Parts: sequence; structure tokens; C-alpha cells
Amino acid sequence: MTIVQRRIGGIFGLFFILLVLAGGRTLYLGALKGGSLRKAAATQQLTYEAVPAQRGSISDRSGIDLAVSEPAQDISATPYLVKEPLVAAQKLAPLLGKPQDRVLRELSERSGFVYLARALPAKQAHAVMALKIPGVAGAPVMKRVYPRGTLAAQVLGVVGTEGNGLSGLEYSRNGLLHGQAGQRHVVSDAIGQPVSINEVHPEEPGTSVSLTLDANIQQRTEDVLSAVGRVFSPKDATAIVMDPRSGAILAMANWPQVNANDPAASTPEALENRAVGFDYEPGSTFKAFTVAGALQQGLVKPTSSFYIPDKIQVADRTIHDDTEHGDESLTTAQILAQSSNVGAIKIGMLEGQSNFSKWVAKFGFGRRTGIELPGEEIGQVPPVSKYSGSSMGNLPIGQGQLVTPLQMASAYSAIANGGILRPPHIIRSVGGEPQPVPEGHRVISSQTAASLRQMLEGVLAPGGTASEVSIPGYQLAGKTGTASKVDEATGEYSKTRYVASFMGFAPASDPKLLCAVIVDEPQTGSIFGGTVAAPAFGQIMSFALPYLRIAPG
Amino acid sequence: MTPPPAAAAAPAVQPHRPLAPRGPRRVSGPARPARPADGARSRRAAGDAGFALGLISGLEALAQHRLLERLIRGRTWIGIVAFALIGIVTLQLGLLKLNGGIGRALEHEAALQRQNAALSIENSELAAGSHVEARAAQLGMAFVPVGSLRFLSSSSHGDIGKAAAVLSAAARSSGVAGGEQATTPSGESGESSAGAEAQTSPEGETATASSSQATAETSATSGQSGESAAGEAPVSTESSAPASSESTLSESTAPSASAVTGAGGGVQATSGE
Repeated sequence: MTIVQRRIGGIFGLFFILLVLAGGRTLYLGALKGGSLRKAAATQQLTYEAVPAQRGSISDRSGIDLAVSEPAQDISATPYLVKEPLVAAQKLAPLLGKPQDRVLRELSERSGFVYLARALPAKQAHAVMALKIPGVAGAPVMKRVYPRGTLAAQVLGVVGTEGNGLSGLEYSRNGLLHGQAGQRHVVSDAIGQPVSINEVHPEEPGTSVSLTLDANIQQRTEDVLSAVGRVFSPKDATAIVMDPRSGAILAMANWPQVNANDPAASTPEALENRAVGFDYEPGSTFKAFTVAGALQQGLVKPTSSFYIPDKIQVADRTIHDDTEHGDESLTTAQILAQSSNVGAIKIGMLEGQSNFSKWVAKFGFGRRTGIELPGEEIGQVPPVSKYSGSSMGNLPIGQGQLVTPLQMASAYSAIANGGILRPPHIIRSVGGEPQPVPEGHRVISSQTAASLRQMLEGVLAPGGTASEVSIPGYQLAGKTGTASKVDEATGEYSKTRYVASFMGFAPASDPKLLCAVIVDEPQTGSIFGGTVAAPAFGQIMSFALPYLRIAPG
Repeated sequence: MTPPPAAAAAPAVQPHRPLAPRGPRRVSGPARPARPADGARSRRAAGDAGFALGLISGLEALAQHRLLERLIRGRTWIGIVAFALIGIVTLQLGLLKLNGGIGRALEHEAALQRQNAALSIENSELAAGSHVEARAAQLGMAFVPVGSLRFLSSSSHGDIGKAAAVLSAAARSSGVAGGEQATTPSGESGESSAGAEAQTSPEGETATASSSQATAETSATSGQSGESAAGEAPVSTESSAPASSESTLSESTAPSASAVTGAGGGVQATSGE
């Protein structure tokens, strides 16, 4: 055997030994420790990632986003894996926006899992994850953000931590907006870089919804209501601006305001959309419908004259006019303009219980308007069978029955648009597809509607209950209302608690814009619809009419 | 020896033997055809065996092929193996790179989603009335207090003539090509500008020629009658936002608050009809 052959044999032997060693090691890792290593690999390299679905945005009619979703992360910790809680808390606290002691307390909990932050914005979450603190993990979620804060907060509603709508449109249209979360199977290498990604279920983003609301009119309406809140300190207030021709809601505001990004800071009452959820006795604003029925039946004309004493006895009740006066003669138009209780009761009695009840139902009271908002009340309208002897002394002047602000606005729209009662709507399009305008039905003739509009102009004319409200160039029409609230303790009408309201539209001859303002229990200054709600109507309309380029008239 | 007759007559007694089972009898002649099922199976087995044998023999032939022999014994073999190994490694690396790329693309997608959301939020915040008002104030505009807007009435013939004259002069001086458009439908555009012209006289408000021109041009070029443009679409004098009688509530192109009620926009033109 030559030296070369011996060397080859040596090299062969060396390689053979190495091969045996490698084989042995393979056997050890594959067979003896295979189970535990497979488990470790599964947890370290194989992950199923949830892919949260982007919730559909909500925008106003001009495309301005009112609610959008942005990527975020839920930051959690496994406290027993956090080796140095104090150091970790020092690093995490500023990024989480929480006090250091609170983070430390959470990291020191005797628990296997604790949330450090829910829906932390992605930028901050990335900074947290970049710290690479053992035991701290992030799970992707979507955070709902309302860029305009308080704007239409009660209408839009809120979304819970699990991404489901809890109130408002977020709740009623959750099925559309929510989308479907996906799942991804990710295989990572030793340094955590993904080497294989498979979509188990692709995520389906939610559908975007466009509203009929106009952000600028909404903002102005909310500003005006805030001013009303400051001046009159009411319990709450609500206002609706709508296009009476189509029933499209342009603004729906509530006071007190709520920050949609921090709903927990508000009371549950403040979160309620009172435009649809507030039952109240409408008071004198209802007289328009009493007169409408009588006009339509041909029982009265705008010029029909009525003998009006200061008070009227109906069964066991005596009803007075707001201001003391001697016996006088008023026309139907004057009864509306001066808001005579006695006059309205006389007209109601002329109609009779049955007809009056029929007209109340025809104008949509006692049932939902059909708007796409949750929590809509139906009000409370007594059927004829439940009328007492004094009912016709109450109902024609808007007492003894409950309505919602939206029902009133909708019914006034019928007067404004020539007699068609159309369901109001707030959703303009879904996923870019325009939604059909709900069809209406005629409740009064166009002549009756025109007569009413003309009579309602008198309310804002000299001698009317809202004569101080005017907008240069525009002829306004409307009706004030000051309704007593029932004192729950005594069951009688309160002498201190009122609802001041105003329903109006413009231009009176061909209305293109309608506004309803309802102020619940004004405390300071005044309690009358003509001095509390009507000026707010004027301020809203004086902005909205030129803004919408509605010609004076 | 002859056997006795009795013995001869006596029947032959057969020894008692159990009957052997009848075995298959060999039959001479050509073999009968086998039953079909068995035949197919055996043929398939034979075929498989034949194929396997053929494959083996083929492989043997390949292994003993002169070309392969030369290839294995030569140095080309090393090159081929090296090429194959490098190819496999490259393929694996490419695959890893591709997956890494997918990961990065997903991260990029998430980043774009974040940016998109942030921009949506910023856009919405920037469109807020308060922000627009503040920006307008920075640009030297003054906000018209709510309720201070006034609408002026115009008298019929005199104002039309004046407006037409002002428009013609303005169009000539500015040298705008559209001047012809503004003056051609004189009856219509003149009527629309009447209100704008009338702003200077009865109320003592100032209205610049350019704003009047803007109004008239808009109404003329949009093909609307001047009367409707002036009557239904009041235009702020400084913002000079295009007016159209078709600007209804259902349109989504309504201007921002400041565009309509911007500085100097307190005076609006309207026809007296």
C-alpha cells in the first residue's frame, strides 16, 4: 500500500467518522428530541396571524370622512415572562401613554395574561414591539377614529373594543361596515423573518357608507346648539336640518356634545340620539296639523273667523291662552300666528275626535318614520277609544301625546313640500351605490299645504310668536312651541319644566330647507319657543340657506 | 388346473375398498381456454413483470451506456453535480427571497393602510370649518358674521344696460378670451349682472368689477339664463365660486363654509323678480 493510498484511506476514515457522528446527531435530534423540538418549532416558527378587516368608513355627502379605521395593535403581556418589570414599565409607560406605576402594577400581576393597551395606534405599537421585551406581545386590530371628534357623534355611534358597533349608525349598519377578519399562516426563519406566508382566509373589508349629512351644516348646527346650551342651560337640546323635498337629513345635532373618540367620558343620556329617541309633548308646534286637517276637510279657511275668549272649558278642564286677553275675534291664520290655544281647540272640536285622530295618524305620528337609525321611538298617540272627555282640550294644542323631533320634522316636511309625507333618510350611498330616495304618499293637497305655509309665515311676521327672527332676503315660515312637561311626582303639568321648540322652513313660497329645534327644559333666560328655539332656527338657517345656494324668496 | 364349477359359477367377490375421490381427469387434446378473470390477471402480472424487467434492462443499458460511462469517468460529472447543487441552493434562496418579499409586501401594505387612514383623518380635520376659517384669516380674509348677508334688488332695464356696459369694459380691459362669451348672450348675462352692478348704488356696498365678471362669466359659460344664475345661485363677491342654478341640495359639490361666506362676501346679488 502506497503512502497515497494510506492517506486516501485516512481521509476516508475521517469522513466516515464525521458521517457517523452526523448520523448519530441526526438520530438524537430527530428521534430522541424530535417531539419537543417539533413543538418548539411550531411555536417559534409557525404562527396563525389574525388579519383584522378594515371597517368601512362613514363619510358625509361631500366625501369628508366622519369615521375611519386605522391599523392598531392590542398590546398584551405575560407577566411571569417579563424578567425586569420595573425596567420594562419605564420603557413602556411613555409609549403606552399610561403612568409608569400603573404599567408596573399590570406587569406585576399574578396572571398569565394582561392587556397593557387596547387598539394602540400602529406607530406607537411598532415602537413598543421594537423594544423586544420578552413577554410583551402585540395583536393587530383596527381602531375606529372619528376625525371630527364631537361632530354628529350621537348619529354615528361608537364601536366597542371587539370592533362591533354599539350605538348609532355603527350599530344599525354593523353588518355592512364590519367586514370579515382573515387568517394567515406564517412560517418564520430563525431570526423571525417570514419565509412562507399562506392566507388561510382572506380578509374582507367592510363597506363604506356615505351619509346625506353635510359636515359644515352639522358643525354650524352643533355650534348653535352649544350656544343655546350656554345661554339657557337646558337639560338637553336637539336640532334637525333636512331637505323637505327628498327627506334627506343634512344635520342632526344633539347637545350636550359627546366626543366620539372618548365615549366613556360622557353619560349614557348624552350618548343618546335625541332626535329619534326623545319623546316629548310638542305643544303649539302641533297646532299646524290641527289646522291642516280642518283645512283639508274644508271645515275652515285661512280667513275663517273665530270668536276667541281668554279661556275655554273642555269637560273638567279649563284651558287658557298664554297671554291674558279679552274676548276677541281671530282668523285661522291669526290663531296659528298668535298660537291661540282656545282657537286651536275650537278648530279641533270642529273636526271631531275621529277625524282629528285620523289626521294625527296620517301625518305619521304614533309610528316610526323609518329612518336608518337605531333606537327610534314611536311616540305615544292615544287612539280615539282612549280619548277622555277633555282629550280634545289637550290634543289639538299638542299636549297629551308624545312625538319625536324627527316625526315632527318629517310631518312639517309634508307641509313644506306640498303635501307629501316622505320617510326621512340619512344614508346616501352604500359602497358607492346610491340608495333610492324613499317614496312618500300624499297626506294633504298642495293647495292646503300652500295655505298652511302662508299662514305659518305669519308666525315670523310682526305680531307672530317668533317675529324677532328674520333672515334678510328670505321669507321664513314656521311655528313656535312651548309645551309643559308632566311632573312625574304629581302627575300634573309642571309650572317650571317646559320644552321649547320651533319648526320652520324657507323660502316660505317654495321651501328647500327645513329646520327643527327642540330645547328640553331651558333653565335660565327664557322658556318660550319663540325666544329659545326660534333664534337658534334663525342662526342655523342664516348659515345654511346661502351655503346651499338657495335663492332668496 | 380347472377350478371347480361352483367356484367358477360363484360371483366374484370384490374386496371392499372405499371409493377414492374422483380427481380431475387429465384430458388429452388442446388446452381449454382459461376463465377470463384469471386470464386478465395473469396477463397484467405478466405485463407488469415485463415492464419492470424492461425498465431494469433499460436502466442497465443506460448505466452501461458508453456516453454515461464517459461522463462519469470524466471531469464533466463534477461540473454537472456542482451545477445541480448550486441550482438547488439558488432555487431555495430564490424561494426564501420571494417569501421574504411577500412578507415585506404585506408590511408595506399595512404601512400604506396606516398612511391612508392617517391621510383620511388629516383630510377630514383640515376640512373642518374652524380650520378653514383660521386659514382664511391667515390669508387676510374676514369672516362674515352670520346674519349679515344681504340681498339687493335690482331694477329691470337700467341695471341691465349698466351691467352690460361694465361687463364689456371689464372683458376688454382684462383681455379675457371668454369676454365674448360673457357679452354674446347679452340679454341673459346682462340681467344676471344687474344685481351685481346694483350692489354699488343703493346699499353703498362695494363690489369689484372682477367679481361681477366672474358671476357673469359663470352664468354665461354654464349656459344658464342670467336670471336663474343670479336668482338661484348667489355668489360671494370675493370667493367668486362658480354659481349654477342647478346647485341643489342633493349635490355633493357644495363649497366649504368659507367659500360662500368668505371675506367681502357679505353682499350677494339677486334679481328683483
